[in-house]
Amino acid sequence: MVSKYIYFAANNMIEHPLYMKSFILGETENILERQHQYNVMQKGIQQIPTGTLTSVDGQDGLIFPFVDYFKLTLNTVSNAKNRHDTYLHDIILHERPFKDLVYHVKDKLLMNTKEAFAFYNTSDFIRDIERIKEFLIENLTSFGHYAVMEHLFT
Amino acid sequence: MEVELHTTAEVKELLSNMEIIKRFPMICYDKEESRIEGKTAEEIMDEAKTMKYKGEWMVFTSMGVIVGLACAQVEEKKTRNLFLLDFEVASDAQGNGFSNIMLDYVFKYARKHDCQYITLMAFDDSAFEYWKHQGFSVSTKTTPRLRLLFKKV
Repeated sequence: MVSKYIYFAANNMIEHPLYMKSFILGETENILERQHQYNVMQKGIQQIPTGTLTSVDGQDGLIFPFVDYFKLTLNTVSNAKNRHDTYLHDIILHERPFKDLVYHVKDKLLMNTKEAFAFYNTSDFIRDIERIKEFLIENLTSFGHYAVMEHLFT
Repeated sequence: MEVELHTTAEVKELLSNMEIIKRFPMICYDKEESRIEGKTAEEIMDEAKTMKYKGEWMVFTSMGVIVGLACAQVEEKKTRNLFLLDFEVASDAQGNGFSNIMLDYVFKYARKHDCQYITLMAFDDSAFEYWKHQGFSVSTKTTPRLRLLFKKV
């Protein structure tokens, strides 16, 4: 059995590149600290509600509801609004490689969302995150709050 | 409003003053007083990775006061582009038209370096609208740059 669990919060994938170092890899030991760091960083954009969850084999930990966050962050670019709001959200909930990563949470703390990413053991996590990254790299046309813009000199 | 441009390596020195840092929350990536509390200006700057950008910093002053900072880097790709890494008017200097003046300087800089494009990343809705208003449009080059960005994760 893997003793350390790693949380995966989808919203952490959409983050300021200056803070990429804090991307995802939070272990149960410092998860609260990371949550604090994350909330502080994102204050003014959105406070991310959190809840606790017991993983499949009894590990307690923290999860981030992600649905609302995606709705917010992926709506930034107006011409991509509808696509991302529904498209990516639907993919996360229903399509591979996300589908098998989603836990359906009954916790009352997560009233605003029906699903959340939860804990994975290290090897699963590494495998899955690579799949997710590859998928996103191929499919995203904007990255969270970012849109690349240009001005052409005529 | 008269604005002077100082293309200088003094930026880091200038920003070592905590009061100045607070006036550029985007560049220093901190709007939270609580987070910078107890830290030295140097520590804040270390966290602000922008200080490590290789691009050229531009310091804009008006009446001897720093009103804006920008950082731009010429990129040699299929075309020669100016990547605008940072562009910020001091929080207490906004609403005075400084951004337009600063942008003029950036455009001149781009032309001087024979750039075909200026590219940048819009961080949020207001930035997106601002740059759109300035004649920028969503780049078709989005995907490669996003890939690069994402691969750094």
